[in-house]
Amino acid sequence: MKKNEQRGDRIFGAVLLVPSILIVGGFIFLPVIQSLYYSFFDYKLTRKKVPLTWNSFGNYRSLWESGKLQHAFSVTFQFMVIVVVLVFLLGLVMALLLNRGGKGERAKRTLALLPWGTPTVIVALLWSWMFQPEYGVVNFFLLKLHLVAEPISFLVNPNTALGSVAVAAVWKQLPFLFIMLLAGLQGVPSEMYEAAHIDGAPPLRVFWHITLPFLRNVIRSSILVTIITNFKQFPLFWTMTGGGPMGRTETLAVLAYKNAFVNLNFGAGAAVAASWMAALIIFSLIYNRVFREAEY
Amino acid sequence: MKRIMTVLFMVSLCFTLSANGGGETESQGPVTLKFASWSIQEKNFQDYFMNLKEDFEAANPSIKVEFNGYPYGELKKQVLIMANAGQSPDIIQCERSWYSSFVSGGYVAEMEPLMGADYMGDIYPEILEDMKVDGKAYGVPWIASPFVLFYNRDLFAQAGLDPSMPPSTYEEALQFAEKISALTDRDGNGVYALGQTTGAVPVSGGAVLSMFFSYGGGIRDAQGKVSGISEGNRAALNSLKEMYEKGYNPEGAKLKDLRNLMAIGRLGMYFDQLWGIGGAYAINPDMKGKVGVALPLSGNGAPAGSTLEAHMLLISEDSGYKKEAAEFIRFATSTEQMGKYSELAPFLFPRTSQVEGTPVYRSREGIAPVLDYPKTIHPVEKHPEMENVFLALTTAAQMVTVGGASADEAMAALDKELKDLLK
Repeated sequence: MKKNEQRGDRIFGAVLLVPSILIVGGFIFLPVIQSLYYSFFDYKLTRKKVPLTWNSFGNYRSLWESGKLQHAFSVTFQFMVIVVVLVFLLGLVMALLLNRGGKGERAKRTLALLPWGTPTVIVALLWSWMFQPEYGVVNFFLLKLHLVAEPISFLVNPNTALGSVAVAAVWKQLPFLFIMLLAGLQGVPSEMYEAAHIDGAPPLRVFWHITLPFLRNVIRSSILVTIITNFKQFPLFWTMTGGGPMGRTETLAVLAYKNAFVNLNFGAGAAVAASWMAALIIFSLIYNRVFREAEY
Repeated sequence: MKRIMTVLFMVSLCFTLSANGGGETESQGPVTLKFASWSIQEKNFQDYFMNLKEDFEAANPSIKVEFNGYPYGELKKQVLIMANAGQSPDIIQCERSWYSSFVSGGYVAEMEPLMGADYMGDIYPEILEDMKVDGKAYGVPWIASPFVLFYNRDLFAQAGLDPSMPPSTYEEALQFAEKISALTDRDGNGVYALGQTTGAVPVSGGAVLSMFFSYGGGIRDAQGKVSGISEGNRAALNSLKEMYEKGYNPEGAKLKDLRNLMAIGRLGMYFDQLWGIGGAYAINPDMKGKVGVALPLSGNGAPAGSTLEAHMLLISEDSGYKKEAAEFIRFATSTEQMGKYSELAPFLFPRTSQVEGTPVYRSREGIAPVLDYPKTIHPVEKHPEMENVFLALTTAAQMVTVGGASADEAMAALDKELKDLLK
């Protein structure tokens, strides 16, 4: 009787999983496998369905030989590092400041979340206007404060373009890190702080030996989410710079899009996407190995 | 019982999901033409398009028109996705730089059998030539223009220049620019003297290529081989460098940036498609009457040149209503409809009989100075990589301006890129 019940439970559980497996398999795994498959063939979008031709890793070779893949990896990595570091540091400072309790704390937290709720394309357009050299508000203030003599074309200057897109990304993503870290801070047992206070521990020591260790798991997972978000960032780049100037902001996402939807070369686009996916998987594995989950 | 009900619910959910993914059932009734367009989404033109639809449907009761509006930057992608899903629109509004993608993919139909030899023979030969691939045209021009020169007459007068005498060469334009750049606006802001778009978008590449043509350069050498290195290209890039270093040209500007600057009186001269000035007038209607227009400039003694800038109308190869689609195109490009359209934004009629047969149009202030435009048109490649070629041209322009490279360095990089793209 008991065995039959267990068997029934297992079958029932499996049946309940079927829709999720179908949805995840059909909408995520199948396109990923299909994309990987296309990356090994000459596959250009045409009306007449021509048979796919194996091209002996031609898509990968031509991307590598042109140097565009390496360049896109480098740009993507630089962007990801800049944004993750800034978002983490600023998010931590904001969380520490707004965790003290006090008047208007709730209003401040709500306001801080606003950029997170703004669609990325709108963020890109907003910052494009703000960075505009002739009538943008950023140059207006820089000129008024005599910090620069001439307006700066932030998005078309090869030295400032990547950093400018990073500023927009930081503005958009800061609330996510802030809210995660704030939630983490509120989960630190108050007894620990009380004990440290009784022992006379200075604030920096308290932060280093109590706050940070308790935040470790939150930091680990939220930084991984931020890394992935920025590794696949597309709308900010496409709207603000289109990959320019001189390819200075041509990330893997932009390169894949250009190959697939500008050149209609889906084979090359898929090769970029496959390289990109492989890099992200390797990176995530290393990251998870280095920052193992903490146990309290 | 509870479990059985839950399982039944899951099964019905799966069924609903799969049913929603099914294809649409084709409806029966009068012929409905689907027209994919970005202009229909632009506020200025919406009334015109609704009237065009009503007029056409009144004249052709058995044909209905359904507009499928997309943002400008999305149209090409959306149409290709629809075409590959077997849902191709019947008529496609096409930007000049996308034309090669539609043609090389085999998505669009040859036009002469549909429009007739008389219609096609009426198009300016220079324009028709630019649209031909292996001797066949796969679209008709709707509105056309080269990259013309717009100039602010008020700023010309303030700089001591004759507002009725625009420059005809780059050398002259640079002399004028020196005077205009000394001006400031009412708030004391500097004035840019000579705007040339170099933003990282394909249309800017067309503008840069036009400048190469005007200096006798291009993307092929005298033997017809792909090459980014020539005396003409060197002179054009040096000219761009000078415009940038002397502060005449805003850094990496897109056409919309130049239109904005023209609208607020901070740009003396700039190159744009004829209808582009409509963007400046939409921001500042007071500019109407203050802007003059001139044909493309010549440089280094070479004849003035430009790429053809056009909005084209294409008929989908998969359309079941090609004859009706051709009828609609004939109606939309009739002299009467073109006259109404050109009142909203200036553009050049691409058919000789329409230009010659419409004296009112010929004498319009914003049209008359550039009526000879067909002779400036240089045909360009019909290669599927042309959009990337245009982007490579903007990169060369950016290298000599914001990148600080020499013209020779930019040409070498361009040459390598062109040979890779057009192999």
